[in-house]
Amino acid sequence: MKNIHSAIKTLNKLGLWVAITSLTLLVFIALGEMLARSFWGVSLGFASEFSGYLVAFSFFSGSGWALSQGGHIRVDLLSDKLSPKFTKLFEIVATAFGVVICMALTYGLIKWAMGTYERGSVSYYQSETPLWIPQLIFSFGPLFLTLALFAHFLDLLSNKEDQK
Amino acid sequence: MSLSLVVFLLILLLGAGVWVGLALLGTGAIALSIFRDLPVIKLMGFELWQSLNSPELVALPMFVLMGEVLFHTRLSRDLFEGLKPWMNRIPGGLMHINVIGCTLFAAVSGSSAATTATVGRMTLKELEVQGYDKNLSIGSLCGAGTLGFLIPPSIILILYGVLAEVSILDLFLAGIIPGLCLAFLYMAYIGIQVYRNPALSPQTSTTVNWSERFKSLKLFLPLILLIIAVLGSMYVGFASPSEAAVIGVVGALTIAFIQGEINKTSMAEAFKGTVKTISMIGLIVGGALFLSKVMAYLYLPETLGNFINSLELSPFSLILLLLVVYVALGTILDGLSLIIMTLPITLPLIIGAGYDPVWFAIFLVISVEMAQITPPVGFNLFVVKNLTGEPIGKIAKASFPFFLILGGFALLLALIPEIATYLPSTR
Repeated sequence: MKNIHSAIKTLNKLGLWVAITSLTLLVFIALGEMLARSFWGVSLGFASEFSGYLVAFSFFSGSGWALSQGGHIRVDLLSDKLSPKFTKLFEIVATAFGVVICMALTYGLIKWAMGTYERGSVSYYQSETPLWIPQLIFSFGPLFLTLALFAHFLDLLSNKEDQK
Repeated sequence: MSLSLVVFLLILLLGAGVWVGLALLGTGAIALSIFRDLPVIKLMGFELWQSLNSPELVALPMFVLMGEVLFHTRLSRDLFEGLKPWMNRIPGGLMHINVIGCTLFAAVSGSSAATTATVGRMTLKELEVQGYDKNLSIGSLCGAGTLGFLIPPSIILILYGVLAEVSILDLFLAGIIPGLCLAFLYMAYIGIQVYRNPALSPQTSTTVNWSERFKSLKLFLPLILLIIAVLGSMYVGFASPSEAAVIGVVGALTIAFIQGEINKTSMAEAFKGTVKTISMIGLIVGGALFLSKVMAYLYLPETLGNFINSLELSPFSLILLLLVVYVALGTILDGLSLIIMTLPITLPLIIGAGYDPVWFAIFLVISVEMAQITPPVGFNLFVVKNLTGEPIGKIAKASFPFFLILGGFALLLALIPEIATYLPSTR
């Protein structure tokens, strides 16, 4: 059990760093684009395409880590009013639902990326990037979130106190 | 039938405490599985990728990053100290710093919650120590914090621009005059309240001379320069909203560097804070966009649109109806998901009634802002609860006058749309 938690924590940190790296690259690409346009009157061909991928990565890669930090919001109306026993029951059901829906999303994304690979689809930009690559990287975000939710679910079942 | 199920599932999942973004995704997936024979799981993945892989959205994380970097500087403290000497003669005194501070900080922050938290962190304790009325200081902070979504940059306006295919710059410009008018109305309300009941404010005997006042200006000069760089670069056409956001990040980093606040820890915290916020936004936006697509598959926007059209409301009655509906829905849903999910239904109705989509964005933001300070789900109330430890009910009661001001202003905006549309028309 401890190993599972430790592995999930490591993956979530990896997700966090993918998100931070994406944000940093977004800053540099936008600065590069502005400089190139101002000084040489040209546009960086890849700026728009890669900004799209990076913004998607930055939105989802750190999602699992954010969950562990209490970053995702929820409505606490019932849990504020119910007894601790029922609050926990609701928490278990809500987390189990979260795991299922997130797992479905991850599966859907990976399946979509595999389909793109099989079809050999490439981006319509000059770079002709094989689209399965950014799609697969993006699917890691929901995967990490699924694992973080699963870790939370295990915590709830094992009565661990440090619930987030 | 499909509409009832969508509403029922949404209330059930949100009420059960499922995370908002996942509740939206789940509602969409279940409704689609029941009513349409489509590969739901694959569609969910595709729609999420399509909606978030968008270069137009770059401005959103960048403005959040700018706010986070500024949060780790002395800016809010300097703002408080810089504004202090200017407030001693005005009825309400330092209480106005809540409003002016939020107005200025809103111009470098895209979110109401961040604006409320940053300004409240500096003002609430100080106002209490100085003997200002707690209810009025809490209420004015909650009310003024709502300016975060209205005064550019604004996360909600960026998303609205992308979804409604309206110029984000026009939306930003449209938010300026209404934001300043609301700030003025809040300050007028504080002034009138203190004038009628001087016990709400301590009797200050300190005298401040003009040289002290002008010296204090340099404390908020960096913020003013940053606002000019971000908004000015967009207005003169040098930068797109995304690029202006990056200019803002660089500007914020420069301020942090000059103040000697740039170090490994503060930068790591700023980036982590950004990832935490945009992950929350990303999940909600992804979920809400998927659910809005599902609603289109189920023909719900047409059904609801036809129903509202059948009521044959006048344009102003339609606006009144929408105001009530948005405030009511906003009591259980956050502003972002609310706008994303309802826009496919309300935007065609509004355009059909002859209103400008840019104007509607501002009206929508004000409606959502009203919900932001309405219990049970009012995010500014949560922020102030965390800052003060006061119960939500008490904070909501203190904010109620500001809620009424927002409502009154929304109606004024419906009667005089130029308040919002004038600045975009000058471009």
